Amino acid sequence: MKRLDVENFVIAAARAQGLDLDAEQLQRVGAVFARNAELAELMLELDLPDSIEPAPVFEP
Amino acid sequence: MDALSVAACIRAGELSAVQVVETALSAIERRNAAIGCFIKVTADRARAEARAVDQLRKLGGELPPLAGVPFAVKDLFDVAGVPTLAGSALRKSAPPARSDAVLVQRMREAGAILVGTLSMDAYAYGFTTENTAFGTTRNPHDPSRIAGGSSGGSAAAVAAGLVPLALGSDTNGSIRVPASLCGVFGLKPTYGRLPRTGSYPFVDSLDHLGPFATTSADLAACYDVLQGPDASDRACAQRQAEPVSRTAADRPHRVARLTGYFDRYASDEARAASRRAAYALGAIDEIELPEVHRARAAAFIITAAEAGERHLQTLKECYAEFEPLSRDRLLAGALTPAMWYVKAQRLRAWFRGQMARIFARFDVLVAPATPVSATAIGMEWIELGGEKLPLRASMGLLTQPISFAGLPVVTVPIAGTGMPVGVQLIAAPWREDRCFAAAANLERMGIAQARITER
Repeated sequence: MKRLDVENFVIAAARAQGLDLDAEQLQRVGAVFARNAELAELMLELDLPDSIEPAPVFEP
Repeated sequence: MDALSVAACIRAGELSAVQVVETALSAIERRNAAIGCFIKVTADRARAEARAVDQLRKLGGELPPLAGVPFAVKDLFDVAGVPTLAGSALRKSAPPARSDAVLVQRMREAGAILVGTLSMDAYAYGFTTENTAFGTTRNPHDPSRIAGGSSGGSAAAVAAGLVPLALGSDTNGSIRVPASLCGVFGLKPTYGRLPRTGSYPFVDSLDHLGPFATTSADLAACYDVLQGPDASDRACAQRQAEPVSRTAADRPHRVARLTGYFDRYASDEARAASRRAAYALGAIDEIELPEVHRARAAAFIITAAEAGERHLQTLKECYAEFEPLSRDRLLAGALTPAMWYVKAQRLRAWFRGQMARIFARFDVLVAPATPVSATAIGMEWIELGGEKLPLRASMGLLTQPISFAGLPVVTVPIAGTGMPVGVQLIAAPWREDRCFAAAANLERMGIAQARITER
């Protein structure tokens, strides 16, 4: 799977959300987002059966 | 004095509730400045409730189980007449809550007396209770160190002997982490067991509420009065109370210690604590949880996405007033792609199935509660498992995968002479009784023991 282009994604997503971030904020938020992206990649790597569905209200 | 002893003394007429409450208020007045755990002291209310308990006893009425026992709550529980701050400066102008949160009501019905609200990380996003607006909560065992978070005020108030019981919340470890670092007992029940009605939310699909105490018997007694369905919280299971106070003597038979991930991210002291507890409980095996690092990653993503979504509008309007330690994390979370969030929730459903298989073989799993004991206030990084990791996000490495599966956990403080460190006793969903049985056994053997600082 192609890796997410974190830098451009953060700029575009922030703009789309109506967030007016200055360069420093963008850098800080981008650094956090990059860490989140690394964690996301860990879980995206795991293939799950199609039968596994998300449960918005989790029932243990 | 522990909560059940206080209640017994009041019932026997050896102490009045007014005496008990005045002692607690005086200790808070004297010692809170050094610890920084109380945000608001509800002295008038406490005195009025104490007088009512004494009056009831004088008239020969039957006293409820926690009559006259002082307690306090994390500042995300609604308390009638008090603004619910949730650790945020932005909420200083919030209107006072109109009524008590459901769990505060239940404590009151059980006779317990609220003496105040307690500090926390802003919006419960953190594991250290370093709060820029309200100050840092200090560990009662060493004021240069953190109390843990986000329910740091709750754990510190109990560890300092200011109250025998406190309530907190746990999304990814916010009861278990401070319980471990402050050396007290803490319960994170099964997801959906206790209603959250009247508490300020953080991550709806992961938020739990629960108690702190100085003994496993107190923790059980408190948990028992908190139980019961509440239709106002859609995630609260409509199950009747399943009291644990009388079953806590049973010994769990099939115990395993969690290794792999849980050993890799634990210091020598935390690993030793989990080995000591597991050995004392007669652990028959050591096991690794499948894909546990991915489970933790998914919990992290769900947290970021839900918390970011909740606060996005306010962040747009008042970024500068947000807690600097978490505002960029909230903003980054608000940008989470939908596919990450959906995959995380699917992984959660899958992981739940994996845990169910494990609990067909074992009654209780044992793991460290925190990677290390309390670290210095202001510390930014920590080295764990050969990796340099951000401390504030990593204190929950060992608790996050467990709450992700919604499992009940009692965190017990392991007896020792250094800074406290706790161990998680984990059971299958709805089997809090097994966690309590293991905790009571460890306490009886002298392996688990709360550390309360001198008054």
